Amino acid sequence: MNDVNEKFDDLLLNDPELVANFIAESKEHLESIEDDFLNLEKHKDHPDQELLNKVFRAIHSVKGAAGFLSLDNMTRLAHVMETLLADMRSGKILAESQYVDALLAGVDLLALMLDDVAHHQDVDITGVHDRLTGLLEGGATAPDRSVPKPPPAAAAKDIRLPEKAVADRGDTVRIPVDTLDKLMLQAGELVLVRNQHLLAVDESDPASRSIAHRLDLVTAELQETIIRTRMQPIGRIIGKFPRIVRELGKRLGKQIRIDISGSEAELDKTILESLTDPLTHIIRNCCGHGIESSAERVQAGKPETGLITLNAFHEAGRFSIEIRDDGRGIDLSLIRKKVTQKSLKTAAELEQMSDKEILHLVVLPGFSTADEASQVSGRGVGMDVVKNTVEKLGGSFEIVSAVGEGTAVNLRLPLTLAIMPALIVSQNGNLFAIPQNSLVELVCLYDEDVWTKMEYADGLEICRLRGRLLPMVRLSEVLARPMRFSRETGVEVAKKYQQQEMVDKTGPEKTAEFRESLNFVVLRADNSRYGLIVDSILGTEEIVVKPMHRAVKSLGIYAGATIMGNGKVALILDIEGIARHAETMLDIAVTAEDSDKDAAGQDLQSVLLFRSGPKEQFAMPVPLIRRIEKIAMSAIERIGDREYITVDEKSTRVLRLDHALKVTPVAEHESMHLILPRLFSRPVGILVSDLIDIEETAVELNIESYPEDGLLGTAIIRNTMTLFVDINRLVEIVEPEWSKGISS
Amino acid sequence: MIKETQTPIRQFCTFRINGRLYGIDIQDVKEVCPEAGFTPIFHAPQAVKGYMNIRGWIYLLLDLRRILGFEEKAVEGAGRAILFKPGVGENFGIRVDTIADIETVDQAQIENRRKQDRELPEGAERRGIDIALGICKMEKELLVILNPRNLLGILASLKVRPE
Repeated sequence: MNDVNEKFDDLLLNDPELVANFIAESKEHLESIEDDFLNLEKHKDHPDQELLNKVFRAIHSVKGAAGFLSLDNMTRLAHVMETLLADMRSGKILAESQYVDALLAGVDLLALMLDDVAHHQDVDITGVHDRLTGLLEGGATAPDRSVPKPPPAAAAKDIRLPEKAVADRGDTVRIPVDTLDKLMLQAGELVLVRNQHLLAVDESDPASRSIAHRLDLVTAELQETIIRTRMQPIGRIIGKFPRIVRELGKRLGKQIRIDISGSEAELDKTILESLTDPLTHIIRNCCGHGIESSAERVQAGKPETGLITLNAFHEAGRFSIEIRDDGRGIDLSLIRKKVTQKSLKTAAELEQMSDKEILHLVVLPGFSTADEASQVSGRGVGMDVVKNTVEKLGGSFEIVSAVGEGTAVNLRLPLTLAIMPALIVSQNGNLFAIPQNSLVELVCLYDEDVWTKMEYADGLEICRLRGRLLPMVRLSEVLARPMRFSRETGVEVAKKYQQQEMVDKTGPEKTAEFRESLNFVVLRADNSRYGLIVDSILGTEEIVVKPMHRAVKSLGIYAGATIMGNGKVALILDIEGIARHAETMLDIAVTAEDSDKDAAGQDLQSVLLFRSGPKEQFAMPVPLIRRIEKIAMSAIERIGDREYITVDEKSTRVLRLDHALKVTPVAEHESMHLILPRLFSRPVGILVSDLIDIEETAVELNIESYPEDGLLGTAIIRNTMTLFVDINRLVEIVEPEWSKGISS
Repeated sequence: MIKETQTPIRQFCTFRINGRLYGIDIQDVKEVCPEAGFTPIFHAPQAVKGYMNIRGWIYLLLDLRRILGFEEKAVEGAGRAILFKPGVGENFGIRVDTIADIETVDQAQIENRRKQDRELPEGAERRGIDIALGICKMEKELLVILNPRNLLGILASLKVRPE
């Protein structure tokens, strides 16, 4: 053995390139071989001679090369595999699963030895070697196969032919990845120069214009070509799935088949490589938890064999992978149970979530460390890893599931990482890039909308966008505050802009910050959405992403930097990072949960919704209301700064909400309403401009989001922030000396 | 601390901050360029001026004035940027007030900083920052020799820009 090693070491020393070539070539031979074995097994009764030949050749080549390099272990193993294959080729044995198993084990060992050729002698091949030899001897003597000579021509028809033979050797060149990376980088630089040149070019000069145009074209083509050199077919990683599925199926005692399409679809090498683990994870989950046992399946009226389909394809400049199983699906009620059990979410939070959001809880880290109690729980194993990887790559991730019908996981990934489309926005004169893949839409509010669509609560700025509430974050505030937002920060920010808005709207003078319009970008982050308010939106541009300098890498709000066409450096915003930074301003759900101190507050309550000023929506529980009186504005009498109206022959004090609360003044029209509350010894009524409706609702009052004296709290009713008035307190505020008079 | 070079002669690229004379070994300097526009990096330590585009490469520009502990002048005027070679650290440079001459100094003229503790530049003394390599007595004044290799490292020790 020492002797052999010496010989090899010698070679390695003298001709490392030869050794490297051997390894690369052998690996190539082994790459597709697993698939081929499995195909042989599948069609074992009609052996595909061509495929057999191919496999045989591959093992033979490995053996030959290993022999030449005096890699003794490898030669011996390959030899016995070759012999077995020879028997198969001559029709002496068929590709029974016992043979295929042993051959696959052999391939594994060969691959293992190739990974570390220098120590290949340390790999123990005896087990597999003996198994193969045993099979060889047994196969020769055992009476199990009396060889039915297959009619090869007929068989060939329904057998999938191996994809175009690996490639015509002469036309390909091996290039180190380093070189490609460098090329890629330089192409990126060229794109920058091109962008700069396009801005600088003298448009009036036809000659220079045409040169610029050609430079533009050539650059784009060059970039595309170079990107293509880094593209590799996804088959490289999904090719091993049939085997994984086969083995898992055997181990779990299930019958599972995998159907793969789109193996030839290509994507960037870096992305491809980081996908191996997530995809394997998903496949394992499908086998382990998705697909039921054969008995269960038959009972459910499904075919006995479970089916996993994996479909990879290009779509709209993105790479999509769909993995679908026809198993039992994910039961939402089990997720709910699990999540509350583990206190990952409260019941109140869950109540607010859509089915889709609940389904995505399986990716919560911690969810996956499930106990064995439920089958569903196991589905979360490692799903957080999948999600993280995909998001790090700038992709998105979605689960769709129907109980009893199966589960589908969809991954959408960029084709390449280095160059991406981005939206350029400007804030305080600085440019920022927002990766297009997190963009949902751009919104510009004009004139009145700037005021009417925005709502404020303590610590929250909310926009009502087509009936949905969207939490808002101001880029200017994020940039100005290096510390993560605390709840107080949110309160401070919301108050600042609310006051500013009040002045702009009602005051004779506008504040210095007054804008005719409000621009914001709706962004998607971590299953949540928010609006980022910026000074202006400039347009989209293809940008070359550069990582942040190491000294400032820890700043969470940036994903990198890029050079713009005008030569300025622009920072690329990290959408998730900003969401984390300003978390307190985003989490509508969390604030709702805060108020839910006692979980029993789920009873339906009828509340009267009304308006006093034009903007705010108020509410008051119906049981507290004695009556609502329709009144004429002209019937109100003024005494000093107090207003009275005669109702039921009693002089009733008219209470305007804007006198007690910081809200917009009552919108006066001739016909108004007066809410007469119960439980007051002295007559008093709230002046109301519009009655909206009576709503039956499970009110969860949020006390913290807008604590103002005179309010019980706030709640979202009909997608609008609604202020619940505290009538007792209001009366105390406007008529302090009455306080003794309140009947209890 | 000071590298022993074969020749006892060393050359320093000198510059002024707050009127004081500082120098950096010319072998560490890649280039000196006018301080063109830079992009501020919000949330970064105060001593970080921002990003500069130098012919398609992004450089991190540090404010040496801040690092040395001098107050920021209200009106600074256009300064100069000294960019360092890759060996000094990942693409970065410093902003200085004005560039002075290239000084050729005999190694023997340089006194190790340790012996001359009292002669430290104010800022470095105040912060206890290990960026001054030594002091060199010139005809009219003292030249403080800085070690750019420690600059990036001390950024972390400087607190985030206060609000």
